[in-house]
Amino acid sequence: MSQRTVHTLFLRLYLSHEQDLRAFVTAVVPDAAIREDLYQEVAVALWRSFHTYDAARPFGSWARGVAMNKVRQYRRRLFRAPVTLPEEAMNAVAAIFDRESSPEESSRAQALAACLSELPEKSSQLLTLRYQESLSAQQIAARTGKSPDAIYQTLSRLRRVLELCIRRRLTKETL
Amino acid sequence: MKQEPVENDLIDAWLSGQSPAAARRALGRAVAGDSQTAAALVEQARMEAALRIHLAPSALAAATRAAMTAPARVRPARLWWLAAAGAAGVAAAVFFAWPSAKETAPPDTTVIAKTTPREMRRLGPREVRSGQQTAADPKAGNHSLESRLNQFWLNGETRHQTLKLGAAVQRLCSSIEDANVLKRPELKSLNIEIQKPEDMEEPQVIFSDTGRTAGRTLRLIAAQAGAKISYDDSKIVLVLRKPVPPEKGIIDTAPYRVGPAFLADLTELTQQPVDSSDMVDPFLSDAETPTKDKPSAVEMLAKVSGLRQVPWGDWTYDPLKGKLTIHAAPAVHKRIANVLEALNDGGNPGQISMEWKFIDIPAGLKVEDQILDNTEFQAFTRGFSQMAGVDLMTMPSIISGNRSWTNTESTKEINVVTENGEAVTDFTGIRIGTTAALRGEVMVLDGTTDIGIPKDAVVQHTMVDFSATLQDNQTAVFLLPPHKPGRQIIGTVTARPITAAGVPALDDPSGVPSLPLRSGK
Repeated sequence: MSQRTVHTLFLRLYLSHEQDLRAFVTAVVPDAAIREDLYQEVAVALWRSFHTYDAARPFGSWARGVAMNKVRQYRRRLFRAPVTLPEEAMNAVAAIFDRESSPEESSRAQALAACLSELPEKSSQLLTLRYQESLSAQQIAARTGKSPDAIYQTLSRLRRVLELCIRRRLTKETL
Repeated sequence: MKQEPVENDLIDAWLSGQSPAAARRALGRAVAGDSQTAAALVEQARMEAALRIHLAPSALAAATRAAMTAPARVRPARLWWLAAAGAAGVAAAVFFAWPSAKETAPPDTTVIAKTTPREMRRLGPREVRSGQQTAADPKAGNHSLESRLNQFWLNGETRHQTLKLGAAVQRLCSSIEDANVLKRPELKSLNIEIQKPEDMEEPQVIFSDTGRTAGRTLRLIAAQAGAKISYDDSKIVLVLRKPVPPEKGIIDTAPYRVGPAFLADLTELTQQPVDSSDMVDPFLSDAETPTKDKPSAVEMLAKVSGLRQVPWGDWTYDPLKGKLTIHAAPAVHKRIANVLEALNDGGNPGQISMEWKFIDIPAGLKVEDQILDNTEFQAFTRGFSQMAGVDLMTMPSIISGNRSWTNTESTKEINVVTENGEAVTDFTGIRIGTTAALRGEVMVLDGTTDIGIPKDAVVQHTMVDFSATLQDNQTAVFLLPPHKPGRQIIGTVTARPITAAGVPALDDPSGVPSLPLRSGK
C-alpha cells in the first residue's frame, strides 16, 4: 500500500470516527482545556501507531483503546488531580460506545445543522459564545448579565433539546 | 431515557468542568455501577463533541474536513496538466490578492506572524521536533499529511512544529517567560528556544514541550501577558485584552531603574526611535496630549510586559536618571518589576538544572540539614544504599528557567481507605515546587515539598518549605518529617547552572561561601 493510500485511509477512518472519539474524551475528562490537549495527543498517537492497526477490527474500538491509554497516562502524570473518570467508570463508558455506535456522522451533522437553525436567536447566540468564541460560562455570564449557574443550566437544556431534535429527525429519515 | 435529576446535575457539572471532587467521585461511582447513567453521560458527551465540531470557529477546518472526507474524484489522466495549471492559477490569484495583515486585523489586535499560501507550502512542518530533541522527523515523507492534519486539528494549533514568528512575539515570549510573571503549574515543562539557523535570515522561536501543543504553549504565554492568541490558516494574531480594574485603595507607587539597554531594547522591538520626546506628560488630559504616531516608552513597556497600559495609575519618567516611577496596582508592579529585571539582564538569564533524590528511611535516623559537594554527596548516597530498610526512590531531574517556578513529582498509585470508610485509588508521593534563581555565581532555590495525598485520606499530608543557596554541583540535603508511621524521607537536590548550549556555565566555581540552609516548618 503506497504512503498516499495509507494517508487517505487513515484520514477517512479518523474523520469518520472523530466525533465519537471526541465524545469519549469529553465523557472521561471534565476540563475543556485538558480535553483539547488530550484529544490532540490521541490524534497524534493514532497516526503514529496506525501501522499497528488491524484492519479486520473496528477502527473505533482500536482508537478508543489508544485514547484510554492516553487518559491513563495523563492520570498518572497528574497525580492527586482528579482530572478523569476512575478506571471502572471509564471502562463502563467505553462499553457504551462499543455497544452503541453513533449513527452515520454526516446525517447526524445534517440533522444538527437543521436543529440549530430552528433554535431561537438567544439560544443560538449562547451557543455561538460558548462554542464559536470559546468563552467560559463566567465570561458569558458577564456579557449577558446572568449568573454562571444559569448559563450552565441553559447550555445543558440546549444540549438535551438538540439531542431530542436530532433523534426526531433521524427517526423521520429512516421511516 | 429518563434519568434521576441528581445524576443529570452531576453530568452537567462534569461536562462543564465545574464539578467539585465529591461530585466527581459520585459520578464515577454512578457511571461504574449503573449503565443508564453511563449512557446518559455518553449521550451528553456526544452532543458536546458534536457542537464543538459543528460550531468550530475556523471555516478552514470545516472546508478541510469536507475536502478530506469527500470521495476522490475520478479525473481523466490526460487532463492532469489542465487541473495543475488551474490550481496554479488559483494559487497565484489567492497569493496576489492576499490581504495585508493590517488591513484585515480588527482594532486592538496585533498580527504577530503571517504567512502567504505560498509560504505555508514552503515552510510546512519540515522540522518536526519532539520534546527537546531536534532530530529529523523519523516519518520522512509524511510532512504533507502532518501539515494537513496540523491545519485541520484545532484550527491550526500545531504540535511539535517550528513556528516562524516576528521579532515582537519573540521579545514578548522571552520576556514573559524569563520574568515568570505568573507561576502557573502548567508551565512546568515549558522550554522556549530562540534559534537563528545559518541559512535563514530570521530567527525562529521553537516551543518544545512534550505534553503541549505549540499553539497552547503560546496561548499560555500570552495569557500571562493578559493577551489572547488566535489562529487561522495564515496568521497568528495577538489580541490584547482590556485590563481588569484594580480594587480601590491599592494603588502603590514604586520607582524602577531602566538603563539605556532597556530603551535600546524597546527601540529594536518597535523599530522606531525612542527619545525623551516620546514621553507623554502624564498630567495632561487626553485632549491635551499631542497626537503622535510613535508609541511612548510606557506603552512599549506595556507591550513588552503584556500590559496594554498601566491601568488606573500613572507614571513619570526621568530619562537622565533612567528612573521610571509607576503608580499602579501591586500585581502590575510585580509584573513590571519582573519584566524589567529580565530585560535589564539581557532577556536571557539562563537556566538551572536540578536533580532530585528521595531516600525513604526508617524514622529516628539522625540526618542533619546540610550542603555537600559532589564527593561528599557520593559518599552520602553510597552509605544509604548499603543500609537495610532504606528505599532509594525515583530521581526526577528538571531544567528550570531562571526565576521560574517548576513542579517535580515522584509518585506511585496506592489503594487507601478514607476516614469515611471508602476505598479509593489514589496517588502518594512527593511534589516539589521550586523557584530557582541565578544570583551571580550561586543559585538560590526556594520552594515547598508536598508529601502525601489528599486531606480526606488517612495517610498524613505534610508540606515543608525549604531554601538553599548552592554553588555549581553542590547538593542540599534536608530531612522531611515522618509521612507515615515509622518512616521519613530525606530530600536532596543538586543544582547546576546551564548556558543556552547546555554546558555548565561555571567550570571552576569561585569560592563563594554557601549561605545557611533553612528547612522544616
